[in-house]
Amino acid sequence: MNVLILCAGRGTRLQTVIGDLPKPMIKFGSYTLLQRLLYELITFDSISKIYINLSRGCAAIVKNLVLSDYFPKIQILYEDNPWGPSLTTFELLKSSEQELLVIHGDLLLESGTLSNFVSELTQNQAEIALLSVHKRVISDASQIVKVDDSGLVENIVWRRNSPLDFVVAEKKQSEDVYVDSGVYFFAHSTCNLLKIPGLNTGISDGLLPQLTNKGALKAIPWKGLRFAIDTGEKLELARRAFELYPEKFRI
Amino acid sequence: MLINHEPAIFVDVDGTLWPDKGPGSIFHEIDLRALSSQLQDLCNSASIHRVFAVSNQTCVARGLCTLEQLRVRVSHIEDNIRSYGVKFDFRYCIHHPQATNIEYRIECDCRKPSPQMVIDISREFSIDLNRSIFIGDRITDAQSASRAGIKQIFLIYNEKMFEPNINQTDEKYTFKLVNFRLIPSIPLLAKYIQNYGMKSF
Repeated sequence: MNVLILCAGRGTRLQTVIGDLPKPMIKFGSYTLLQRLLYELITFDSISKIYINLSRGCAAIVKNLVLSDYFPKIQILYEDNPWGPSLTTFELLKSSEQELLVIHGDLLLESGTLSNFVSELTQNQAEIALLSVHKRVISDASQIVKVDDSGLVENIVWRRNSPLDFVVAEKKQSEDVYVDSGVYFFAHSTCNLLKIPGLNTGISDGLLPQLTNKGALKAIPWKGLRFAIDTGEKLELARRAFELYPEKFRI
Repeated sequence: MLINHEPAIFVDVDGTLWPDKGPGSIFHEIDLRALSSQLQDLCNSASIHRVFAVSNQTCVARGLCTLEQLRVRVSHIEDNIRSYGVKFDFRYCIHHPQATNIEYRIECDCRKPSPQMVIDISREFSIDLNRSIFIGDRITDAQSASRAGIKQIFLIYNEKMFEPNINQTDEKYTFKLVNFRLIPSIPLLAKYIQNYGMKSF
């Protein structure tokens, strides 16, 4: 299995808080977000290569990596101008015979949860694509991942595309729904089902909709705490959780 | 007739083989004995026995030296490194789109990130690019190698590694994913390959 960690984004929504620092370089305790992901992944023999997707302006990430002991397993996947996660993932999946685990580089995950996810993948040898999901109150969700009783994803509905459908649905405002958690797995066979996605599209709007309704995408609830650090508010929330529950994030 | 294509090690020079002190770095003092020893170790560990330096040398275009002075210096480096047993050739592009020396102010095909220097070498010396490796310190090195068809690309960390050069904005070079590995130094790469083999990459 190969891994792709998405770190090419410009992090514009956080620029007022962290300046030019790339999001994966935000530190929690002694370790950056990227180091935390790498620590969980690097020991798996089942992982052949870890691709880190970068674009210009990410020199800080590179400096940090070359000083680590992990350099042989790590490959840099460089884009002069970011393509968007969908297209990068598609290109990498197409160019390799390997399965691909894709992770957003701005995630703070509870220690052990990512390695548990990888262990389960390795044991179960999934033949389809998997999307990690977590629950969120419908009024706070920017999307709904609609899942059938067997866990297969029927549809991914976006608030920005269909505000009425989204709110009306058959749910109440206070009800929980599933949303994308930012960790994805693509069995190599799914490559045949995918067509080239658009530039600058995310995984859950560029690639995953191509797999729904084909029985080729399953939702897996994320077991443990996870924070996507993409706004100042979420950074603050994650920092508070880190202070309150240090044992959950211990490396 | 079947031609037996051999792989090669392609290396950038300024910032890779010796420190990058700006245009004209090639004229600074270089410990060629130590450099030859590093290259020999790398050749032995990778089981590749040809080394080609490929470089954008703008010192002539910038009026810092004459072409003859550059030729003499390059020959001196080649001869010295060969005298230590390394099969070594040095190719360079002397053009620059904003050269002060108008004779060399050319939008050429050879300046990296163009793959042309690597491709020309592969044709002249029957090099199998698919099994070759490239070592540099700039994203333009990786772009050049990748477009030439080299799969194993290594970059030594450099604070300026992502800075574009003058012709890097050309979409034919930039609209492509470039896949490379970071290495701390050439000796550490040689050591790693020696311990774990090329296949570990």
